[in-house]
Amino acid sequence: MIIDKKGKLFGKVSIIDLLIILVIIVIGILASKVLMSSNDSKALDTIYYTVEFKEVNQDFIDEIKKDTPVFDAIKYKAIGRVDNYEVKPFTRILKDHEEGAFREVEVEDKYNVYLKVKADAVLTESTISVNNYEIRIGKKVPIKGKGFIGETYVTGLEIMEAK
Amino acid sequence: MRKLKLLDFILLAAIALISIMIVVRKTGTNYQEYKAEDVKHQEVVISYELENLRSFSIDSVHVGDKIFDEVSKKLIGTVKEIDVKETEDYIFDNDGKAHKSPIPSYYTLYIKVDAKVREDNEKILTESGVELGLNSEHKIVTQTTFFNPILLAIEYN
Repeated sequence: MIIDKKGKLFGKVSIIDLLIILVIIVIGILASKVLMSSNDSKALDTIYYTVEFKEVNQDFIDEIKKDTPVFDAIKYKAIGRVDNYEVKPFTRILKDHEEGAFREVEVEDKYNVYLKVKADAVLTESTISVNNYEIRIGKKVPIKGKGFIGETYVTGLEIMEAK
Repeated sequence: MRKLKLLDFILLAAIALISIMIVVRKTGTNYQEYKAEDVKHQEVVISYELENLRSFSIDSVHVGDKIFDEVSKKLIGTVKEIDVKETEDYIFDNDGKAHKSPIPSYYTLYIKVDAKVREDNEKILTESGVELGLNSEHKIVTQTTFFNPILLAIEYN
């Protein structure tokens, strides 16, 4: 019999004691893994990324303030601070049937805003993450700042030196 | 030999279960990493096509960039060649004649990627285990960019 009537393994070790020791060992392994992984994590790099708000009006532009935080509008994660912004005319592609060609025309009172965001990021070989949120050129990012919100695309990314 | 009791069975079952879990973890169906010496890989060039891209996407990919599968982040290969053309579409003129015309500010990007693949049953898999299928949309990323191209061709060297 492996466990006797007193609950001892091979008549020597209490099964309860053994379970407690096992639990302690497992907790120890997990804790050391967590501590090791935090020691292995790279230093944060400063990145600047640009997001494009399309077809906005002047009131929207007036709400943007430099050095204010921006958030992922769905999960409300902080993903950097407004560094700067640039305003360009919003354009639309129209069909010119007379010429048989496509033409790009500016739309009055509508603008594209290019918001440059400064953030601390974790860089790996395949990802750049800000607060566990992946930033990539071409990725759709719903962004919220104080007084403005919108669906954007990342249009630029610049990696600075590690801190 | 003495009879085993219920508690002994539970203990043996737990040991067996843990052993099975370890074996499955190491050799189960989800374990797709193959050692280079185990499987013969062939060098290929994978061609991707991306239509209707804007200039910021075109500028974000370079020869030498590593390409990864978007979901698994497994390596697919390295960008070997990039070609950019204006995206074109047909438009009718006032006489009802169709003209092929470039769409301003939109481009079509062709990327060639050096990779190694193997055949596994009916699948073509990269060295890292990413399945490739011609004519399929395949979300890929570099460190800085996201693309959703069509896989046009796999050319064997």
